[in-house]
Amino acid sequence: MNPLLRLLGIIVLCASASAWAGGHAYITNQGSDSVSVVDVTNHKVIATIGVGKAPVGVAVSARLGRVFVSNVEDQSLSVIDSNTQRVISTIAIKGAPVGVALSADHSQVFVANWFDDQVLRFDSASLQPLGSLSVGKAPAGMIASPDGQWLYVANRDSNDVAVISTKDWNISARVPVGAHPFGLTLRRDGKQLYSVNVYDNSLTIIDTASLQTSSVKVGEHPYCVALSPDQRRLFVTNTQGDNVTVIDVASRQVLTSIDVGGYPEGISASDQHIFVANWFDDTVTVIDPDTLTVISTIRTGKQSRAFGQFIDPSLP
Amino acid sequence: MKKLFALLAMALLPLSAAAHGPSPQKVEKSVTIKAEPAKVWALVKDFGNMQAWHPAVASTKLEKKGEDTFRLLTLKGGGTIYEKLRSADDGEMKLKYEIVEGVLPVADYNSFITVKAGPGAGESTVTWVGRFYRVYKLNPPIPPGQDDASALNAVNGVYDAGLANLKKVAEGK
Repeated sequence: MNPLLRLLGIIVLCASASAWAGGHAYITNQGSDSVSVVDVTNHKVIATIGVGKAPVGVAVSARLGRVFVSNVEDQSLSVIDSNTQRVISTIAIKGAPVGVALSADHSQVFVANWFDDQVLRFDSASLQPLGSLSVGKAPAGMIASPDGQWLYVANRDSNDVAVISTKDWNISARVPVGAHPFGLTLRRDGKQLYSVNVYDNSLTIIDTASLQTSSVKVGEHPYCVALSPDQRRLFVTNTQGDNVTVIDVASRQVLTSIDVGGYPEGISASDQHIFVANWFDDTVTVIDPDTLTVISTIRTGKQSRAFGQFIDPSLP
Repeated sequence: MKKLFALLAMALLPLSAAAHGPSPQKVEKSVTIKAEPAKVWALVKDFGNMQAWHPAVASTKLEKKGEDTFRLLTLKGGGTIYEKLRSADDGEMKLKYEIVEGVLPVADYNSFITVKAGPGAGESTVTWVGRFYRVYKLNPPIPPGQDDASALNAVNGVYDAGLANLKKVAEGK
């Protein structure tokens, strides 16, 4: 091969590999009715996409090239093409769509219908409805197990987490947690589930095999939780503390808290950093999960919420 | 002020601090006061004497329940608001409180007031911030007086009237 062509080939390969590994954060902006697309490598907003009224929940699939956004005041779900950063479809959802999550294989998208106490299922490709199931009161955060067997749903007003079997869509267990569970996350191996309990200022750790629980005190009025890329640390947003509590997974001890913007809500990890959406400040704070310091602050749209996994966790 | 009383009187509903709707609302207001921060902070942090600076408040009754501090505000236009003190930080000059129940057409209301030095020498900047939800928790149609606009109007009215009068009182006018 011509050496110049080979060099060009290497450059193109590197560029596409870094775009893949880096990925994008999709930040829902309640007050601007938009989504800010943030490049997680250079921390710049690369696009702003108009969606429905008061977007809150978000789920990202790099595999499908799609992003799903719940517009709670509009009663709709926006579907974004993540290659063109444009809305390609809007699904009407009667009720109050808040939480959004994908199945383990990304073939289905789940929407928590807060006021109707239901989880709705859609085919993520055809966007056709597949069914619904009744859960506890005010379902909020959701996450699917990596083996595809379970869907976990935080029932905010029932103070429990529903464990739903994806074989028959029946509730196989309801695990009592603290008061007002909102955000959920799961360790990559699926063995530990974490629920953030807003009214208790606590995080519940659930062993997914035994369903036994333990809890850790966090800051004021916590909302959401994310794991560091190496799975060793948990980061919990405290909406009324304007900070993030950092917990060591192995010892279950609080290591420190990190000041972020005002009323931090959504939190997700890229392959390198932790991203926090600050509702009051209209910003995203980026945290280094090793040094536990803030490394940048990004201006987004008004009242950023980003509830859900707003960066695709399955990225290599 | 009249408009504010009308707004408050409109929503004489028993409000629950429990479950709320999906979209929080935000109000942030600031005022510059020609008085030393310590003097302004002394007024703001005095949780049991809100009538000393807020023109809509007729009287304040302070209550201690164990370690917690509450106040019952009786408004000049009628009605009450029952509030819980979250913290009063002298170092940061930041007062945090929440509404337990009352006539404001809001749900799950929490707020803070900060006093900062500046912009000029001997001046203070007071910022009052609130996060809350509308009264009506479910989907449209939303009954009149329980929507986002009613909640925002009421809180804007309370903050505007309060900060304007705090400035007058602190400046000794």
